[in-house]
Amino acid sequence: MKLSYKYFKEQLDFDGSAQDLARVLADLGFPNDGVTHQGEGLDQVVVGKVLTKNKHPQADRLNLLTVDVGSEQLPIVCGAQNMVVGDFVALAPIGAKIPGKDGSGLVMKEAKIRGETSKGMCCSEVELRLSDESDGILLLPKDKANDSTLGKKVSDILNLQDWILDIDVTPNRGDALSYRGLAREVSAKTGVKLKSLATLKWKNPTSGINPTIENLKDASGFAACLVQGVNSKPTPEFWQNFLQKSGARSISNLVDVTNIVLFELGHPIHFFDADKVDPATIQVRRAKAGESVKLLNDQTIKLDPEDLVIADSSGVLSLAGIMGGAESSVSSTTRNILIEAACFNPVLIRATAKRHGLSSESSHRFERGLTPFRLDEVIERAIGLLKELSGFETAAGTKVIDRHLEKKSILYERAKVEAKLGKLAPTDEEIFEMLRRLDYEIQPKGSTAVLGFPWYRTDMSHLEDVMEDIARLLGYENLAKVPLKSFESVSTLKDLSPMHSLSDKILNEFISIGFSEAIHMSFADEKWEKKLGLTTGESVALQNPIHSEKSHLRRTLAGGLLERAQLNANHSEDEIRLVEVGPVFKKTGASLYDESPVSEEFRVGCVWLVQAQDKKRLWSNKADAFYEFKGAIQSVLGQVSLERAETLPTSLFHPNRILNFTSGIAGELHPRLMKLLDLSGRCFIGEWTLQGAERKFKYEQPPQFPSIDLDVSFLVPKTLSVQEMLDCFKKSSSQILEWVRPYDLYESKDLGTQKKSMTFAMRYRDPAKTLTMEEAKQAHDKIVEAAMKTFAKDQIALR
Amino acid sequence: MVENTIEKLRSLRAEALQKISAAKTSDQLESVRVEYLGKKGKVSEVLAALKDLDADSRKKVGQISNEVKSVLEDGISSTRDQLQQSEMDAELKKDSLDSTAPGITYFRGKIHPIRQVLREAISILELAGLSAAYGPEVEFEDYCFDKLNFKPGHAARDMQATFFVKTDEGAKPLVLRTHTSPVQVRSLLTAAKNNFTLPIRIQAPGRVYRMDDDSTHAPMFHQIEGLAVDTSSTMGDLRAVLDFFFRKFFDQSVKIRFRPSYFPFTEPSAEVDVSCVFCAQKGCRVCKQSGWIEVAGAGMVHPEVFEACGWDPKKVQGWAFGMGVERLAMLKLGVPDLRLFFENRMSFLRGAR
Repeated sequence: MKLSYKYFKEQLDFDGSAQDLARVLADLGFPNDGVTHQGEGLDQVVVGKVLTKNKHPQADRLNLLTVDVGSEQLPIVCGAQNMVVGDFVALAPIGAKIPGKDGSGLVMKEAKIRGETSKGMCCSEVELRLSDESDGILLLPKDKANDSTLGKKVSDILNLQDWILDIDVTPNRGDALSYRGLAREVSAKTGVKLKSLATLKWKNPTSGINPTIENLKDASGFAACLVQGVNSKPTPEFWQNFLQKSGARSISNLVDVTNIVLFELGHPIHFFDADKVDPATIQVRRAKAGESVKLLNDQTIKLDPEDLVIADSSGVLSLAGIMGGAESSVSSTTRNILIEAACFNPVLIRATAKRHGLSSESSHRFERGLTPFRLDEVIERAIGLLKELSGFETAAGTKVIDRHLEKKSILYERAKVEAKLGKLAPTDEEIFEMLRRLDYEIQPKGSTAVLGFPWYRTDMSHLEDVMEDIARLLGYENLAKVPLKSFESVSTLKDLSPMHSLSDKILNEFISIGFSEAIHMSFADEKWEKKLGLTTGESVALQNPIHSEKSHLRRTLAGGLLERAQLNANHSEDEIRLVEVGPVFKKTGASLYDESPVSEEFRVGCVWLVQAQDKKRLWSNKADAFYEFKGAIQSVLGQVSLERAETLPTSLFHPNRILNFTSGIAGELHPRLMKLLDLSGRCFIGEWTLQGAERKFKYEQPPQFPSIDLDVSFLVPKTLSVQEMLDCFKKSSSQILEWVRPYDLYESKDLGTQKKSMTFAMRYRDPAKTLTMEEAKQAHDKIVEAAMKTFAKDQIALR
Repeated sequence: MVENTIEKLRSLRAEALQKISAAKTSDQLESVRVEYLGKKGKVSEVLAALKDLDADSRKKVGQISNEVKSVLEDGISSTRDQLQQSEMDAELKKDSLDSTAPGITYFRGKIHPIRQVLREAISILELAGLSAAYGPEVEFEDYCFDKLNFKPGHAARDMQATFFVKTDEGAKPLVLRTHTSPVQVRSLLTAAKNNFTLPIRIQAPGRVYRMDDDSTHAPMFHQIEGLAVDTSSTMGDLRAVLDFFFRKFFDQSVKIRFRPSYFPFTEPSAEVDVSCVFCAQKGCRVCKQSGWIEVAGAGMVHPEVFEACGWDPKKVQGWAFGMGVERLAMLKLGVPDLRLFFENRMSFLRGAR
């Protein structure tokens, strides 16, 4: 809400600057989004009087003026035409700095314009940033500028200096969206009394005006007042400025009165043209099926039975609390008006505003909750303003309010207050005095008191609500501070910390081999996941997605990782290696959480895109990238032991380059997807469940006896895999074979098209004694022989 | 005879020393050694003649010859060291390795900045006695709003633009949680089922969702929440925990400030500011010249929340707070733009240069 510092002082004599006011309001729970200084940078612009006006001898469009600024008479060349001799103008003399058209600042210099000297500039409203448009230069009104004010600051003469505070009001405080509401808060905090406003009593009750409410649950109060003999007049500048600074604009004196009341008191009111409605049958009711109304914004809407309207016997007049109707609203020919001041159910107003996509200053306040307790004051202020802005002959009306509405109250118990706020310094009586300034009604009861909540609050029902007011008024900074207590941590929820520490562990492992962690949003495009080979229909869908490509929750991490690899490639990023841990979602199935509405599971996934430039390095690893990926993820996954899970469909992978894990799957991306994503190079992905545990490693005594290393080379058919050979060695179950490593795999012309060479290094060691070469060779020969025998049909040979 | 021999040794010494210092290579030096100290060397020859002398003279000449021998050996040895050093230096100068060529690139990965901050925040809050608790991201609307005292149809629901999840007809309405506070509800509900176990002291880190997408709002972000419930916790304890947290997280010199605010699930409620970590409260762009930066929301758990979760609000009390992890990360790690967190460009993730 926009609050003018100057107009705020009409409510309360605040003794401090606009910044001080901003601070006091913030301490009360009303922070701001900034304080704007109006009239800033106009200090050097002074009142001048045009003494002579002649055409520039060299340019028809320019005028030569002599301008009297009191101390001297200045020659000014001016491009505008709208001044005559004797007018008062806003003059920026040499050296003055003004905001300029774009607000970036303009410093006046002596200039020669087509041979004529100009010692300053007559400013327009645009150049002074007083308005967005202007026609010619600013001519100062003669009731403010005269011969005695020559040379005085224009900002003082026009009273331009003001500060606009952009106040944030929380949604529970509909009452505070007004000058009066905020002034009441400041009054309570500072002890400065509120000023009274000009009001006029209305005649009440009266005949001929009969407001009714169909259902008191929909509207708790409705006051209607007939004002006869109003006039259409220009709104005084004071109020025009008030509206402009509060974020509205002046429309007509009658409409302006409704807006002034809205900003000033925070209670929206509406004026009907009384000659276009029937005051005897005016009613707040639900709309009926088939009804429609043309609104002030010329939009005609079809009404819903949940909509609340103001109607008379002839039909719907306006959309209650949101917007007036076009037919019944006031115009320049209006002579008699019917004032409506009512209080509507916030839930209905909010639903209707949402349903029809409407929102107004009025609905904004009703949605946040207002009370019907002081509708008289609202009407009386409206009449007071009408007196000032329009004049009228008679004002009379009546109101109906829910008689069952009770003002809530609560017993004040200091011990309970201190149990939550800590020890308080002021006495109960001092606290009550502060609360009274917020309009609490305090009834002594025994040694304590019953606190009646303020009439304007809709959000109070507990002693805690009072505690907040006490804390606000005392200042949160003045509450007792206590030292940090340390307790044992206690949670009764399912303990997921082992899973999260496993996730941290595995992330750190990936980081150590050069992967960086990515965090993606949980949204996914179901179509994209289908292309990845996932079955559809199992995804969790959003009712109101922000984008059609974010319409579902992801079922895999791979989808986002692949898209991100593509984005990185498009940005020519190097060494694209991403790892992610996070949740995936499914409509049904096991979930991490108890009482979980859908299935949520944590996974870890990675993508590695090897691009041509990645291999363009000195000392580049010449091995096939597949083996680099395989080694990397095996070293990571070797650190943990994860549960059995299926993560990604095998169709995602190159059929010959899949790495199966019990806990997931990895491998090289299928060329079909490489093409789909327009990726070049080699792309590897993997995804695993995060259910499981860290592997427990035990420390051991290092071997005490020396080992013997022996190698063996075979010539084998190309179809024979390394794994088949390794399995064969393992089957021989030699007690002293410590490990086998394939270390040379090659194909060449010399070996023929059907054959390849495989070389293995083997280490033999006896844990209990020093192994002799003979024993090692014996074991080695046995293993080699077994291999020769096993693969005899493959025509395997030693090399 | 003795005099002659001694004289001879002395002149051999002078002669040899001169040759030693004149040697230019190890080979030359070696031949000097052979010439004088070798088995058939000149010094040895002189000594061989000693056997014809009497014991006294032998002793005298022997002493001198040992001196000469040791002087020569020392000279040869130190000259040899010098020569070998310069010969090796000359050899190393011929080395062809180009030490300016780049080393083998070793790529380091990095933990995501959000995770870095989450990990740190979690461990500080663990120190303050809050154990990590987790809840689902697809949540019952009831847990996300109603049980937290967001009244149906109340404008407070507009504070958090909400994603709704499609459900079957008649099923409980589901949302993507808009904050981590449903974990408070879940904690209170389970504790109520477990004989109202007290105290509850948890922190709830996690992902949350709001229907905003612009330069300063992402539809998904992270929060970390704290909750303490017992029979004695006050605003004072809450302040103490947050004071501890922010001093540890930013710097010991950081101050915190509470300002009144509104959250449906706390009463009284507060916004929490920290003194500006960029300008030491002198006023800068980040704190908008105010010297303070808003970092968290907090308050005493609302009685309606206790009631909705099956507790008697007269018998328990507690506090809660919540903060945005991205904001903390931007402040602490200097991340200039929220969108960078989710763009996941390698050059961003690998970290500041």
